[in-house]
Amino acid sequence: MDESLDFEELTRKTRRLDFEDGLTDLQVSAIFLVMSLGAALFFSTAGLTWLTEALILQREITLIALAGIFGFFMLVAFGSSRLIARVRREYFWKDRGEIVPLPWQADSWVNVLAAAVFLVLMIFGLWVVLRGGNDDEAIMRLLIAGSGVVTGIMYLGMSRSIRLNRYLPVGIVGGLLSGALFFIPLTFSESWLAFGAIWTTTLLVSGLYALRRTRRGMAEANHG
Amino acid sequence: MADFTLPSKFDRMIHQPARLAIIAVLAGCESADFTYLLNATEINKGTLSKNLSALEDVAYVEITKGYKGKIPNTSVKLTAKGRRAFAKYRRQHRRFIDSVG
Repeated sequence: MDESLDFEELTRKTRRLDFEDGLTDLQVSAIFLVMSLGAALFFSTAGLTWLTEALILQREITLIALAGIFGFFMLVAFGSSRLIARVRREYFWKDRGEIVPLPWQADSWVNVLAAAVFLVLMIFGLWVVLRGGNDDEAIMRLLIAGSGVVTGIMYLGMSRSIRLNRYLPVGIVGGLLSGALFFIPLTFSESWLAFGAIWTTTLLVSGLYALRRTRRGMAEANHG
Repeated sequence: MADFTLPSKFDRMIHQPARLAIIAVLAGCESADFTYLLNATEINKGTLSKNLSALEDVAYVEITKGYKGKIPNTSVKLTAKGRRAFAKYRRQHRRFIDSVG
């Protein structure tokens, strides 16, 4: 063992492990895709009309169908976790051993900062709406834009706390584009689609980039 | 009077290179298996086992022996007591480093 022990780096290195191969990014990207498509459909005019009529005509069946949609979402979330664990066990972590990652990776200061920024954005948005400087759906759009900015802050915070440089552009691009959604006069449903497109694409690019690097590193190690 | 703890007053169970490495790795995850700890800490098997037992005796870690498929697997987890002790150690260490450097 190295005598000049950097124990903080040992902790960071272990925390980084869950994000190094990019599989977690691909998982979160898929979750954003399913969530935003579902919400866009649900909150569209056609979706809301169908839901209202269906609840009146076939209440039980509609509730079962909604539970099914929620179940599908949970299946994507938990199923992908199991798939990732399996892929890692058989390929990426085969020789290095396994860890169970921490359930929540962001440091407490990042959570506090994100909550404070969300609050400030809500107040700013309400101020803009109350001044009449925006359209009817702005207040709903504000929730989506605020959530996107907070997600961006989470990634920026993680890039700093676990020293994962890839999350710096992820946080900046995702956060800024999400924030810009507030100023674009989209409907609530369209905003969900745009939000999904931003985060799905950003995390897909990040995940594929990391996955490619990991596979290249493994190939070099096998040949070297 | 300086606001720091002298290294001689640090928690001896943590302030020892092998055990510090083990705890630092475990602090970054929910749990880790024996192979991961071996690779991450670069300690040999015997030393790792001995230090894990010492940490288990003071309830800083929880060791679970089981199987993954047909292969024996030892999983190690930092307990709440261990996490608190490590957090305190980190604070003391940081204050000491700040005070001398």
